[in-house]
Amino acid sequence: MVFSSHLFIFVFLALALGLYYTARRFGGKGHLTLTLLSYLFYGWANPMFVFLMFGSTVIDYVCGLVIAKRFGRDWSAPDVALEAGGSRTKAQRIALMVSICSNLSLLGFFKYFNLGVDSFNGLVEAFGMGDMALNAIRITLPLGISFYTFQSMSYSIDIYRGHARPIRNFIDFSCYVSLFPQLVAGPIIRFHEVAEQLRQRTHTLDKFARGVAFFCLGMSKKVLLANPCGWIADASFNAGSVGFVDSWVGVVAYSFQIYYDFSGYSDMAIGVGLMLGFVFPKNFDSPYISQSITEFWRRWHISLSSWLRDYLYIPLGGNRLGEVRTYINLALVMLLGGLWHGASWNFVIWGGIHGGMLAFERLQGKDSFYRSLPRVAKIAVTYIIVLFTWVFFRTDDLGHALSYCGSMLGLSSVHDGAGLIAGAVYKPYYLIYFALAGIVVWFGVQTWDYTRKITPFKATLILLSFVYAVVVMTTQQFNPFIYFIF
Amino acid sequence: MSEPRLSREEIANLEVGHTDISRGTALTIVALFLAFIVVLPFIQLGLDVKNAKDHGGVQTFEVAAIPAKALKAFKNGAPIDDPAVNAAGLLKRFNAANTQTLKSIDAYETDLKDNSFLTQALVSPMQAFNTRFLGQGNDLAYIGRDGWLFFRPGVNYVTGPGFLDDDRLLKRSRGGAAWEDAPTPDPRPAILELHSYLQAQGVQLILMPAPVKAMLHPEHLSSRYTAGGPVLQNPSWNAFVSEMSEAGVTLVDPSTAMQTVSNMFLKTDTHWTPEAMLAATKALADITRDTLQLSAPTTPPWSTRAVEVTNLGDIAANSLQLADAGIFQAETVTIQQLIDPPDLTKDAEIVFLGDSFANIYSVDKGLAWGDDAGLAHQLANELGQPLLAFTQNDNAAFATRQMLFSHALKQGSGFWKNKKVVIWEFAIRELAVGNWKPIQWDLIPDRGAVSTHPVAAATGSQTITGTIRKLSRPPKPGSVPYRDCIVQLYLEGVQGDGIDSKVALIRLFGMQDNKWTDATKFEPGQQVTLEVTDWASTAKARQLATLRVEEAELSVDELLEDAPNFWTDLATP
Repeated sequence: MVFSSHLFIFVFLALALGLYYTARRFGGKGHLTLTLLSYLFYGWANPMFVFLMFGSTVIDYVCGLVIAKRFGRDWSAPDVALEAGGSRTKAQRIALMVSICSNLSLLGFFKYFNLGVDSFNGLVEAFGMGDMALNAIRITLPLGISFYTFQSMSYSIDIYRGHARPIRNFIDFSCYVSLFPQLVAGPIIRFHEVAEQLRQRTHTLDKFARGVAFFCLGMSKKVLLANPCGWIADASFNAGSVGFVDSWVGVVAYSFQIYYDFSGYSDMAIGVGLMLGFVFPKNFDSPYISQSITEFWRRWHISLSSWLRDYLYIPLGGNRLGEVRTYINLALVMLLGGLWHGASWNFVIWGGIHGGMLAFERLQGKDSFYRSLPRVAKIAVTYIIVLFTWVFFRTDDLGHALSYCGSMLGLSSVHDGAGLIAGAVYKPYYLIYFALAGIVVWFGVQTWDYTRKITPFKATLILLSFVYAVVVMTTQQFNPFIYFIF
Repeated sequence: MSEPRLSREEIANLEVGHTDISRGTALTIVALFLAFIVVLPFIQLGLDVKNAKDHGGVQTFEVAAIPAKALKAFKNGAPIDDPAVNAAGLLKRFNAANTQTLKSIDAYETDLKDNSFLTQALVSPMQAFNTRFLGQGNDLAYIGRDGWLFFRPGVNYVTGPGFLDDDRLLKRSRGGAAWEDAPTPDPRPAILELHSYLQAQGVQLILMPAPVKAMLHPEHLSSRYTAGGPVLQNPSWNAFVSEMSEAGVTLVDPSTAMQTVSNMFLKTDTHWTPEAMLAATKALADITRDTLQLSAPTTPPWSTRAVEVTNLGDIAANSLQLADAGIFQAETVTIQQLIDPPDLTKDAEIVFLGDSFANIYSVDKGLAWGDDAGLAHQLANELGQPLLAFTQNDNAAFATRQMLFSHALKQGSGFWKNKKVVIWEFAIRELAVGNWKPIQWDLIPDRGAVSTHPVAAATGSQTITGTIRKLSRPPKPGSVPYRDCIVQLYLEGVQGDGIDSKVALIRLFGMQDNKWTDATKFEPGQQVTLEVTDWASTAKARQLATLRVEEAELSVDELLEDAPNFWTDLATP
């Protein structure tokens, strides 16, 4: 069930809000209701995988209690955070390892099993032993596993570090892991970010209204901007070969699609969260106005980059172990960040390029020639680098990625039929939305800023854009969602 | 001393805590939003309740039936003697239940959207506006230049990667929904296995992939091309031609012959013009004559007459569903209709398999471009002898092969005794998008030719009862380039006057005029009572035989059960 669907908007959301506020009216926190709704939401994609999420939740809950030394103590005693930086017992360390290992094993098995099999098959075929290939074995990727395993892990780690108090109530913890607004595509909510909200949060009209504004704008971004750009991108990337101009139009369209698709979904998630009283932090901050790749990662998928920083980069030593180690850490974190996105060597290359650029920019220092360039030039250079990395993100295999990059550089051969793409995509409908997407990317304000002050005029505009987005969603079949596969 | 840095959560909390909005505006935006997401479903529910009688229940509440269906699938998933110890069987049952649930969920969600009053009211006007003013097509159609329309899979055949590329084949073989069999994307094994089988029977195979519009009229889609340029092809085409040639399969490419006429394709339709089709027929006939060493007839055995036909093409009418929008004009063509044409269902030395490129101008039903003037008729006329034709719109990669197989299976290998050649026409795009499921030709029993399956009653209707063992489902209306589709019910425990078989194969409309019929409500295991007529005679009288049939997946044993074939108009679940 995607947010931009009839079922979600006209059945699930209305039902969820109704049941949640009814439950709260009868004195509860509404967490059981939210948990059940979230499991229904998750099970709608594939019922089998709810057992997986439940298993992961149980393991982390128990590990959290062991780490917090809750067993053997008075159950009604108040939860207290461990002393930050204090010593930990063997049992606590083991519980942390169990939590991390179980989550990573789950993620590793379901996400990378197929990649392992494909790589093995490629290898045996390269050595002329194709009969050893494992063709029959395929694993279906559970929806949102990359997101909820990271969230779950953050709980154990935060408790262990003393950054948050544990949760005694299993329902509350299940609610945190499975919370449907951000379950399948983020933003990744680290435990300490919502720990207090799970205990207590406010529900106000202003908050709900801003949630509505977020949801409406997110939906508009997804349906009105991401989808038409996705159509253009698909035409270019699905072609056997593509000309110089079409390749650039295609990759720019893809950059718009992935941004509006993902940030639109994040806005909708934040919006639904606000309607339920939760405040989720910002996930995107106009990333294409970045003047460097370093800045890009402060603005793009912020919940992932800050997760990787806090739970991977800093534990690896961050920038505290000398220059060389810092570069290695940066590259390693981005490589793993790439692999987190998907089981393909293209994602590794995508992460590797970003990691390499982060290290390179750090190496350049503050007095480099690049930093003396005008702002517009720096934005343009950064954007072009990002575009080349998106090629690896979008294509299925290395050969296609290299051939597409070749087209962008005017180096690839183009077959006779490639020109037909022009007839398919250079239509007023797509060009209007493509131009609008570009204008909003570079000259518009992002949702947090836009909704800070909601005037009656803005409210009208927001609602009208939502209604129009619903009309377009209703009348068109093309409605992919990129981050659902991660 | 600097201020401590705020966490992302603190910043977010501060932000949300300081939303600048008046109470009136907040109330209004919340009230209107909630009204929108609540009132529309209630209207839909009211309409569903009102239409419940016609639809056999309230559609919105059909979600409640999903667990029951899953339970049924669980029970039927695998035989378990001792569930406590038979873990594999239990796992199979869980998997069957899960797969059924996924299928039910998908169907429910699709129905919810497609049958909502909002969708019904908005799709056509929005599509008309976007097509007329903004040049937007849809999943099936591209809007070309000067009123031309292009079927999207045909364009994708030309622009897409090579259909024989390993990566593409692998990706396609892993596609499809969880509850469907993975498609077989490589056309070569299916063609070569048929070729080998026919060779063993002493029969030739001639292939004719029918070109698509984008190959020959790219100038009507993109201004980067001019009329009369080279024929565009998929990157794998040459490799495919070489492989077929090496294997000894005769391949006819009628593109060059078609280029001798100016307008090779209908503007708003997927198919070729009558003139282009005639040019292709001549090319095909020449090669068939060479292959079979036939001499050309001195005079054509059937006389023809010119008939004008006016119609709006299938892309405008079906793919875009803009028949009544007044955006595209109907076209008038002149077909060369055979007077007193040959019966293409009778046994002949030449077997012809074809899809809608063969049916257009031959079968008015469904396509509405006239009768008795299509590819098979013209080919018979060119060759001077009748053909036994198996044709069906769409799914040419499998459907007609399956029809031939079923026919030969019942007749035995003696069927091939008097056959000289099988001519197989299919839309060339099928090479890139078709499902080339294998067929085990060697299962055709080694026996002399016998009569076809028993016919129930020559004329008139009768009532039969039976339990549905297998059935097929129609495609989603608007997702395919045709408006009508036949589905099959395979019944067991059949009872009825004069029926000497325990099984029966019933055909009925699953989709008519782009709307699902009540046939979609049947379920396996359900007992039905149906008013039926003999399929062969009904199909002939009502020109049903060439419509797309979604075949129920019958095993060879079931095919050999020799079930009588019926037609029913009345679907009473």
